[in-house]
Amino acid sequence: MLNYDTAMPAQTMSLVQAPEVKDGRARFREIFCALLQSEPGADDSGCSHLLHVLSDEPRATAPFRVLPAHDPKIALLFVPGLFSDCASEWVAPFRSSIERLRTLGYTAEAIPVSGRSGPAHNMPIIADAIRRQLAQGHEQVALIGHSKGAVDSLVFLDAYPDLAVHIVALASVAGAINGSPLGDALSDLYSGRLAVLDNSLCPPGDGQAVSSLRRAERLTWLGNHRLSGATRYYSVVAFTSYEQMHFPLRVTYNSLAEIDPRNDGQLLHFDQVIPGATLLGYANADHWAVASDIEKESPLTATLVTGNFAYPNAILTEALVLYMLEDLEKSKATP
Amino acid sequence: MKIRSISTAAIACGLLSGCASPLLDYSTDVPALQLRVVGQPGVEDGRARFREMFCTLLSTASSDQADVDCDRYLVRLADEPPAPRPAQPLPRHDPHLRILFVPGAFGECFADIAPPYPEAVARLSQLGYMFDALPVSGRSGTTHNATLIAQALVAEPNLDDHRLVLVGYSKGISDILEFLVDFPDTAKRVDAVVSIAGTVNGSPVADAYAGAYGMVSGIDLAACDSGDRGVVDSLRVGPRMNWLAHHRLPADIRYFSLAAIARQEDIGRLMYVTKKRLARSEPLHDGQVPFFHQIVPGSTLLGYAYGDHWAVALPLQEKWPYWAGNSAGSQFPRAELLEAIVLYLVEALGPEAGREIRRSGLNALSDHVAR
Repeated sequence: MLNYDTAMPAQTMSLVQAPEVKDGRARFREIFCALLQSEPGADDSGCSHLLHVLSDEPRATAPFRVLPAHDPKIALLFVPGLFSDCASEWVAPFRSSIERLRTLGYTAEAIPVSGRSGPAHNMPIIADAIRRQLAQGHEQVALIGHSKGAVDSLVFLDAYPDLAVHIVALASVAGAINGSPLGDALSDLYSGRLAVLDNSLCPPGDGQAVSSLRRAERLTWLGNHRLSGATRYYSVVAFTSYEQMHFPLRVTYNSLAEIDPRNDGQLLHFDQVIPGATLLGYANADHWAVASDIEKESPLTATLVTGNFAYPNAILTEALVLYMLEDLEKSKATP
Repeated sequence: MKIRSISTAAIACGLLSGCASPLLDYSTDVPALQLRVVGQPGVEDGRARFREMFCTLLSTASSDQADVDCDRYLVRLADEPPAPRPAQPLPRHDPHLRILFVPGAFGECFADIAPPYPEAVARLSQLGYMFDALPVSGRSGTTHNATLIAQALVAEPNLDDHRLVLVGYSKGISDILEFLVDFPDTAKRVDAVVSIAGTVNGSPVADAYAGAYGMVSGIDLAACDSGDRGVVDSLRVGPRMNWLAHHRLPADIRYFSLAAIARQEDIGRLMYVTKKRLARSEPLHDGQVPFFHQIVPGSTLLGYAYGDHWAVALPLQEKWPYWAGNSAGSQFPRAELLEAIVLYLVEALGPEAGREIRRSGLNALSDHVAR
């Protein structure tokens, strides 16, 4: 019923008493665009195309503020999403981001969560990864979760308050915060026919991955839990048009488009924001491109199966980290 | 094995692409939701007390509603708080409310055959309440009607011992919100605003049919002229949410929201097309508006009436039993609903003390509404 149109304000599907979302889009755009321009061969044309400009986005401050400095003392742990370990042979979320951040001096790692499990199964895996960082002397850790990885991270923070105090920030990238209507539609199918997915590709886990993304389950969880106050939250949303979508995602895009065509092939735009988070921006990318480099990691797959819809997700992640560092520094000055 | 995995994934994709059924099923096992523009305030939860009032009224009703389970008429979503204990009695009626009703889209066209809440108005008038419908244009956009509301309020005698309440039904709430922002001086007279099945964020139905309506919007009808022809266009989701994003509602007015939800079989036959289409995007709707679009930012949420978009306010079912009726044969106790809203307002707005102080700084209205 709705058309694909970016002449809309930023909006979130919120529980009625959810805390307000803060708007960090102007500064995030500034950082992202500056990073993009500093890339070899960069031109000015791409930035506004890569981050949607919605109708209510505030203008950037003038004059341009310098980029914040990197702070590799913070360990960066990435939490991938649904079925992420099933395809890791070909492509893995955040692989380019991790490489880029390591060259900048960070300890950056992907946490090996189970792509076919629910948050209850993945929480202890995240906890172990945090403990390892603490044992290595990293007092501060930031989590960056893609898709269901953001959900696993939120549930972890709630269940491990002793570790949550060390998590200075949690950023969601196309996070399945409110779940997805696809979770509702496919959970029965997954627990039945698709439960026999090849276990050599990825272990079956607890089999709760898809059902944990049902809308009612996620929204009820949000309603019953207060997010850890020790952590600051950030959200990057992804959506793009049908034409810019990797081919396999077009099927699910069309299903979601009956609700709202502003989706990333897996999630609706308004379901991707953590309550009380700072909204950083809207990547003009689909659910895969915003975190993975299929085109770089598996060119044959891109050519034969998915199509080429690359997105500079590693730069997006670096911008996210820089925004986070600047904001954390500000929060120390004005607690 | 990989081929088997790919083939099972392909089956899933195939099932989705050929999906005959909506992604989401009708289920009230979700919390109350608001599609909220970033930066807007949240909502206070008044559901428990409102349910208590509505159910008490229903149980004491003289009509055949008295024996009916109250939950049948108020949807209980997953996060509704329990009723306050001990149970609170109903507040006493305080007729010092001046209630002005702003009808919805095309309301002018049906004003003679289906005036809003006829039973409740009769009863509340007997109790001393002053209740009138404002003459807005049924086929005009929100900006046009905001001016009409302002003009009507300027003509309205200033009753110092009454609180002024605007009740917006459906598009009426969008007209009211624009009035409050466009005419801030006149709006200072308003104490409270109530939205009933309000098109606060607009409706995807308007997006779907704005083009079709545009082709006939210029035709004058006997009961209602074409107005500025903007009725449907102004209810598209984009324009309404952009309006909300760029305007702040006056902070000294209290806002209340009552939403409506009904299953497909409890929605009027005349809404067959819209209810079918809405069900594919959001199964919790009233035949015209999804439930998460019906909440005024910063308001107190009263509850979710279980009735279709018309049944919760208009006696259309009595006039057109087949077309406005539904296949389940259900009706909605409108009279008790409006009385419960009025009683909630009486309690929430509190005693008269303080009102005069707040008003003392206000001088004569100065905005120029007769433009």
